[in-house]
Amino acid sequence: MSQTDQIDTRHEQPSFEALSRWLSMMEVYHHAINVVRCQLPQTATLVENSVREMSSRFADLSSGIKQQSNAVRQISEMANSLEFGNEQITLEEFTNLFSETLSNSIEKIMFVSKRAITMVYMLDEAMKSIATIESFVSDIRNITKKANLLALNASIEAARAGELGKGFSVVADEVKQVSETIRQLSDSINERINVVGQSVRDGYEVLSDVATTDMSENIMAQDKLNTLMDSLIKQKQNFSAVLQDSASASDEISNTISGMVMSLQFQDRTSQYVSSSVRLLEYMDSTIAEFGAENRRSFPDIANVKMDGVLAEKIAQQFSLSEFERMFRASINGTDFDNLCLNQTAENTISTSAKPEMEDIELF
Amino acid sequence: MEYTINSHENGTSIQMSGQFTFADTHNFKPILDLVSGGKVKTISFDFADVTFIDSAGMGMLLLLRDECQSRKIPLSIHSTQGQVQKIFHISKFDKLFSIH
Repeated sequence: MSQTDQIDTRHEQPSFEALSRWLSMMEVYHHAINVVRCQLPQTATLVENSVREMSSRFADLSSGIKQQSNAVRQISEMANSLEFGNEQITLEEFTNLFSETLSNSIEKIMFVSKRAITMVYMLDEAMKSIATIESFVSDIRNITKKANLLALNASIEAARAGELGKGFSVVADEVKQVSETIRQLSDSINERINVVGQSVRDGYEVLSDVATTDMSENIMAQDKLNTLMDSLIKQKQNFSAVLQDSASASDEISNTISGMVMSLQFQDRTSQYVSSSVRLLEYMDSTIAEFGAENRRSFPDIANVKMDGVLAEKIAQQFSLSEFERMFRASINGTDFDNLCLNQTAENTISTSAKPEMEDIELF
Repeated sequence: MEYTINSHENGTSIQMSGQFTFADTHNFKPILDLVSGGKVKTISFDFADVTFIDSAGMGMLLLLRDECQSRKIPLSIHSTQGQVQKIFHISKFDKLFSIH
């Protein structure tokens, strides 16, 4: 007879001992299967809860990172622009404006310098003219002095000539008068020229102050300012580069987190795997029970075979978590196993949402 | 500052030395008069020994440039160094004068 043929229990003498042993083992395994049937769904629940928890934390993390990323972008924008009156201008625009303004100032300084020197030369000419006029006036005075002398001589000659010289004497007097008038005029001119001369000299002093004011230092200062502007721009560019890196890094982190959340969705399959395992166990359990019942009916001698206590004890010690050991014993004792399983499930559902204290975790 | 003038057929070259400041205003006048008197064809300055120039000196050069431009006389300045080179660069004199 091949091994696949069913055992015909009506025609053969079974080994009662072997059968008894099997029945007694199967009793134990029935209880063990009960515990596993309770354990597995709880595993699924635990995983489901943890995953839900993790997903929610990752969502928080992701939104935190997005916030940070936005903040970084804002800083980046702020670094690039300045408020200028009512407008926003970029740093580059600002430095260009600055440079232009400085160049403009320098042009004006140069223009003023040129005009000041021109004025110096013009005043030089004015002073020369004044000097010329002064010498003319001096000449006039010399001439009037000579004229006076001549008039005096003429008067003396006229007096010597007596009656004949009377007419001559009158002319001499007139000459003296004219000479006097001219002298007075030249005095007035002299006064005026002195005033003008003084004004020109005063003007010259003021102009000297202006023209000697050396602006070369101010011009050189522009060089320093240009260097400063350049380094400001360089700094901003470095800054922008760093911020750009930061923004990219944040984006990458966000993407990674999204990926992680997606791969956490495996918990769907976990439930399915667990369900099918439980169904398989249930089926195993029912076929074992059926077989056992059938044998007990067919062979009254072994109808009352009890569970193998020694094996039961060995298996009880296999459970590393005491809660499952309790369940196993409860199943054996027939005490309210279903409630115990439900309570345990409820406990596990709560405890995954609370933070576990170190004392609650059993060490293996 | 001091200077020496060398005139030859092709033009006039002026070698200047020392510090070129406002104090040289009267000193510089003869050079201006040379140009405004139509006595030069071209004029070039050797600034190798000029150690400093202030804004008044630059003003004088600009005045000379005006005179040269109105008479179409080419004006150039060469061998600038140190402070002079720097300030010429900042005030964009290389755009106004032929500088080398």
